[in-house]
Amino acid sequence: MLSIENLSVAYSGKTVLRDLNVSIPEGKITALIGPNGCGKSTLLKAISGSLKIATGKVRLAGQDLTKLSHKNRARCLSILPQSPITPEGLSVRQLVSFGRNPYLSQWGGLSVEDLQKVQMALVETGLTDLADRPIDSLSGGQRQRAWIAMVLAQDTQYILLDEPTTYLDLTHQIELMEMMQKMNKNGKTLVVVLHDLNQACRYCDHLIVMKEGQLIAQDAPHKIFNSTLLKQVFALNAVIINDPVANKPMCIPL
Amino acid sequence: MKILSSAGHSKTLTPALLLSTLMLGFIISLYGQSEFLLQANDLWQILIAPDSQDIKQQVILLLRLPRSLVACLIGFNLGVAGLLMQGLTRNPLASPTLFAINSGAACLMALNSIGFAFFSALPSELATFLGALLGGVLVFSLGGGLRSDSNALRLILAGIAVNGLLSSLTRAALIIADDTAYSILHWLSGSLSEIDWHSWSQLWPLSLIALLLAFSTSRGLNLNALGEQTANSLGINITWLRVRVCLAVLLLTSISVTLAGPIVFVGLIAPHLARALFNNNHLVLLPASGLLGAALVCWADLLSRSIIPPAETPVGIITALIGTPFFIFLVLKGKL
Repeated sequence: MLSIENLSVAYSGKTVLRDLNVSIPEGKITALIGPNGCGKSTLLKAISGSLKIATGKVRLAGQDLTKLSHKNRARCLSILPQSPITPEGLSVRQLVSFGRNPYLSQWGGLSVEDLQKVQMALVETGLTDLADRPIDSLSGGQRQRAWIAMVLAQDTQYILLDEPTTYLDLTHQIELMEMMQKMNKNGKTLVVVLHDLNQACRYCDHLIVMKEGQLIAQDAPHKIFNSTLLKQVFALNAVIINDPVANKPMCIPL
Repeated sequence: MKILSSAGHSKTLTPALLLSTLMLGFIISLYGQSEFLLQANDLWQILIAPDSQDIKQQVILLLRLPRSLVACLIGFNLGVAGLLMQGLTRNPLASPTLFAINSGAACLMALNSIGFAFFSALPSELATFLGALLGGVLVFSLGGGLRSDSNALRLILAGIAVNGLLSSLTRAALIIADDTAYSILHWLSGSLSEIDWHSWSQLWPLSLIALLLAFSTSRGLNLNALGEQTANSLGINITWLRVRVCLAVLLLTSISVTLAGPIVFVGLIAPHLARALFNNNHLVLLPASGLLGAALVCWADLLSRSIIPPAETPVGIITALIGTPFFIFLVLKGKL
């Protein structure tokens, strides 16, 4: 279990996260939701160690994550940022093999096992035919799959995704959410920042609702997702109905 | 450029061409443009019939050989340093000049030669080296150096500010000391005319250490190209990477600028050429950029002796003459 205890994070003097206590259930898909600027991305950054934590702890199976070396942490937990940079001319296979970095020695190259993991990640994301294409020549959906493949090659128990669907059309959004479910079936624990509340309810097992750097609610969608919560967190008047396809709560703004 | 990088045969052809260009420049620079009318045959004679009484052979061994070696190694250092800077900042405009290393060296050298305060007590080489380090460390710390939230833009702005400050100090020093101004100005243009075996023995050990350090960062730089957050997620300690890269750049450029003055544009051009010729893997780019830098300085030095013989045009002026149109070309092509 990944647990965040009394976490506070400050950006240039301004407190973004205040005394946050959150636990991410293992083997589930957890969605982080909340209005813009509520600290969702900051929470992911703090967990992944790319932001300095002011106070509090991030524990993975009881172990303090900040105490781990960068490489060891990268073997437990991977994060896909909101808008990663794609270097010009980099091929899909090259990108995916970067996922193996935490397992390489200082001067060593990719081992047979590394190459197998890279190949598996390419197969799982359906990118084998595009493997030698430069990423900057791919469509948005394919590109996002390439990044997911890199994270898969990293082979970590925990995978954090920061708004992975933001720049995709609806078809590719659904494709990505289904890919996440597949990864989850293969034993991965996923934490994903989403803006589409209905997708969050439909595809995720657990919701973490945040506002102004603080936790408002955390539980399964059918337990906490209601019109009072939406009013409180998003200042939105909405009715909640049952999604006839997935049998999950769904909101319709008034 | 696309054709060169995608064609299969270029994998062996391009490095081979690059190496032969460098070798050719190196060999010609050993005998070309000499008052002693050296010929290629004299090189051959050194190998088959060494003669310590032969003036031509002695000129080659004692003057030309160290000079050509130093030219190549300085070029190599600057090419590698430029690539490191561009890789770290992900900014194609970054070059060793950005780190205020040249202006720092120039400033302390100027203060040293006008006898300002305790600077006059230092040997001029040490003063230059300290100045180079000073400029670099100033930019590095003002640019946010070790802080995790520092960024490339901040580093570049710090570079511009520190460069401005140090250059104006240098100018002030030159105005005060009119009589020594000429030698400083000559050094400021970048020149290899004072190089001997002593320079080589100062240059190579430090260069070796710095180059090893540089090569150890190549994988980190590959991942840094994906953005700092992604690199961090892939197990790279960004702060530690930044420290190693900056230290390597500082060493590579300080020692070079100490011996030959600022040889400008090499650190900017060589990495761009390397990227155009090869892929974007720093394991390949680092040696490629180094070799291109070496070839560039070697040929520029040869040219510098050929323009108005027997007088020497400072080599830094030649690289600037090559570099400026190249720079404009990059801008027009939209590469910057």
